[in-house]
Amino acid sequence: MLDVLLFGFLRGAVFAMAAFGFSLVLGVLGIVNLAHGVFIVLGAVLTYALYNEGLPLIIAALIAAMTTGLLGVLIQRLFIARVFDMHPLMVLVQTFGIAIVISEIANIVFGTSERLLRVDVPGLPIIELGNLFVPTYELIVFAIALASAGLLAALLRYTQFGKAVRACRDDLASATLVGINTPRIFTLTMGLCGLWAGLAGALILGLRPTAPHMHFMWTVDAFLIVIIGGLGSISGALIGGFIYGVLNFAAYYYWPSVAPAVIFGTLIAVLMLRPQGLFGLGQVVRK
Amino acid sequence: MTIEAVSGRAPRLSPVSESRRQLLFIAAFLGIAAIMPFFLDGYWQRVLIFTFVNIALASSWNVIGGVAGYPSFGHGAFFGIGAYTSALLMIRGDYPLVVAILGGGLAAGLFALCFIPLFRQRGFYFALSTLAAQLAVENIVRNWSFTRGIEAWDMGWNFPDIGSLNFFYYLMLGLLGLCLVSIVFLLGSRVGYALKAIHKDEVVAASVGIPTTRYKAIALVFSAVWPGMLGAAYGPFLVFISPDNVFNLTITLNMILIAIFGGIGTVIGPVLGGLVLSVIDQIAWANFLEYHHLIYGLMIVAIISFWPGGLVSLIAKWRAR
Repeated sequence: MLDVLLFGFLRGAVFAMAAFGFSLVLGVLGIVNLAHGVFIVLGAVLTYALYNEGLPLIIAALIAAMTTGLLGVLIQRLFIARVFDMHPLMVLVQTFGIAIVISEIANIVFGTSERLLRVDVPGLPIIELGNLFVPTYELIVFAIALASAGLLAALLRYTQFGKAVRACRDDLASATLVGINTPRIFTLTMGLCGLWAGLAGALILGLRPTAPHMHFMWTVDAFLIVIIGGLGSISGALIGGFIYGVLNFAAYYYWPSVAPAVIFGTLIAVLMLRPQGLFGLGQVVRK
Repeated sequence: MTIEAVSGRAPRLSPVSESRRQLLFIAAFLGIAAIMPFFLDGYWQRVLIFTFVNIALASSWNVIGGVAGYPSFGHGAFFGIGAYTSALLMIRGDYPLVVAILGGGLAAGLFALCFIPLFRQRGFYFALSTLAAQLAVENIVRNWSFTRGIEAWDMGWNFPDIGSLNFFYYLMLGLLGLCLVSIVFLLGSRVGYALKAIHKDEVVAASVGIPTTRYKAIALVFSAVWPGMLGAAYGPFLVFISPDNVFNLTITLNMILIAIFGGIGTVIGPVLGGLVLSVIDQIAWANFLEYHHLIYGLMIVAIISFWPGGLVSLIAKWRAR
């Protein structure tokens, strides 16, 4: 019981980190990006490939995250910009198609196998808390994820770009009227989404096996986290991540065979009873 | 932001003459399809059977997703439920195929009633709720001992051999014909007009006294019963079914893609889209097996990005010239 809570909580931070971009894109562009999971798995797969080429892990992770960020920019400019103001159906099917294409290319280029990296951390490999054993790497990932949340929140709060992003999120029409270049903000938001998701993927590489075909599971997870936590805030996504982390661990621990059904059932229940999320700030996007 | 705006077609109510034109088109299509087995070998006959199933699935999805504007991403669940009901009835219960087909439709229709609360959502949220519902159903069917198979270790169902290829060809063609004709009559009826009104503006539709939830429920059950019956007939044709081939997410995606490719919200669109896409798909399978998924994905992206109105809008543009 205690271990489910503790590990769920620790993993929750990195789950939330994987979902920040999803929340931003849903808030600012008003779309559900079904290619989101691709950023995460691609971040992991690229980090693994670069690390095997001999690069230090941190450099490999940063290059991978920048690649996925660039990919986000390209996807937005070339594809989503064409259809994002049409019926939501179009964006859903289009981004799912993009997800298939990229994950297939990753399968062909990098191989379909699952990858897991053993990360050696200087100092103690395992920390004992009472009768619980926590790998130090889990704590480091937790700290990085929290720091990244703080960084992102500060970026949105204090910089000119962050103010423009929040303006687009709150009222797109008014933001355009006061002269904000909304297409540019959309593109940068997608880039930021790719960057954060890719970095989360690089961290996840050391926690659980990852392969290109798992992208859709991550997309669904990100959506769940954003829905549980509520749209529109980094702290909401963070709380959503913690709740989802515990839920995920509990579901697989207590009802392993029907864990996906439990998780999807929770998603439907939250969507029906509290579509603005448990801690939602504003109104819901109901395009 | 409606589909009409996408396809560039002026929205209009279908007068009687349009229904008649659609029925003529369907009759011509069925007539040509009915004589095809005399010219084709077994391989192409099989390809056509898959094409008929795809067209019928896309046409039924189109009623709720295209005409009413509620993009369901969980329609594969109805197909899978039909196939599994058929397996339970025919293998566990030893009932004939007719009972299995009717039972599959009934089970899918009843299950669709559970989806009605999801109508509180719209757009993205409706799509993702239905998707989650399909994934949850698949997970349960995969792991429940009652639905897993006869023996404890089975992962699917083996049907007895009950008919020749020709039998299944005409069975599927007949189901497709009934499905298309029923859709024409549904769209020409009061329900069809109500659904179009709901698609255009649900608040206005409700304010002029259209009971929106009731009509949406009718559309959903209608568009679930046909996949259920098709799934029930598809199981014995395929001989072996498991969650991997009847609850697959690509079944849902195919329905949506065919409807969009042909022309969403139209009767003829899914038929054209199904024919053209199945041919492309077949060529991709036969020549580039390794890259089949990649080609499929590229096709999705290209169609939506550059061709969101579908084939029907191209034909309309060409005729208006």
